[in-house]
Amino acid sequence: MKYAVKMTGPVEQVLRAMLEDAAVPRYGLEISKQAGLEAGTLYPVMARLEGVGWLESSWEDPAVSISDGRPRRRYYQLTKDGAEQARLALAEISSRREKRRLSLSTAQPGPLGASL
Amino acid sequence: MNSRPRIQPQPAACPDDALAGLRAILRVTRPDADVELIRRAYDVAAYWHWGQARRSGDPYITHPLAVATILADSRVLAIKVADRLHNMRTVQFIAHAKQVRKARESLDIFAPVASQLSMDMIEAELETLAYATMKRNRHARSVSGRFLIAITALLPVATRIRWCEEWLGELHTLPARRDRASFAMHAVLGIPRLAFTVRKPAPGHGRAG
Repeated sequence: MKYAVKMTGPVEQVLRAMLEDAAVPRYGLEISKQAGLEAGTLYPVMARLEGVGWLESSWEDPAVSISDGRPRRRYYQLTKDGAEQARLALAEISSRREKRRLSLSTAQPGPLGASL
Repeated sequence: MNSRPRIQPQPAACPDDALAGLRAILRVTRPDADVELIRRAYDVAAYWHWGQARRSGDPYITHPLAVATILADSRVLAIKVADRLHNMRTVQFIAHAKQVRKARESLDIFAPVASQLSMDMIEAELETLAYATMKRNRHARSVSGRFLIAITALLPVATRIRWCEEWLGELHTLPARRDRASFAMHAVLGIPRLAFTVRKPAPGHGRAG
């Protein structure tokens, strides 16, 4: 299946992190820790995912940041469509990996997929 | 010439209707405007342009009316832009959170309006002032912050402010200076890719996946 976003490693890591608790909006630093990505990799991925509508982001309520005495944060969340697409894409990646693992571990030639 | 009607034209349906939009705007911008005079001008123009049509098929009279409405309206917008410009020049006297909000509005709304009205100098000044506002954040004065801000110049203006604000917010969350420096360093490394991403329209956007 062809997706709006190329499924690179960092994209996959971000989507897995975001899907873990899809209903909770998170800010960049949190996602960066969860996905295990540095800022330089994370933000371009976020911009790309937002660009295709998988993610949406919004500024936190200024009342909260003012009372905490800090600049407001930008919170990210998967859109409904984004969450669906992400699940499909990740499932596809996992099953492809699983197949490859099996075909490598099964002894030799044999018809492809026979081991399944 | 002789196609000109000799009879009084249908007093343009009801000029009150045609003039309603213009009059509503004038009530705000020029409460002292001579509405009767404007209405007479409309009647005369409607009479002489009777039967003429624009390429769009609309009666010709809609054109001068639209022009007048735009002019009356631009006046309000121009006043708003000027008002905002002066407020931005003196923005450091209000609370920081409010400064940032005003800076955003200036970029998202007022600068584009100024550009539409061909007020190029004002547009440029609004952008400069809004951008400068972001730099007055506490972390914006730190080495990491200044570094980040300087390098975001590679991003398009509208998105530059967003990332600047977002990253300064993240810097604020990081407790240790070393972490802040590392964050800034890494964010900067991602800027070329980020610039590429935000400049180019999303390829598969809108299409089913």
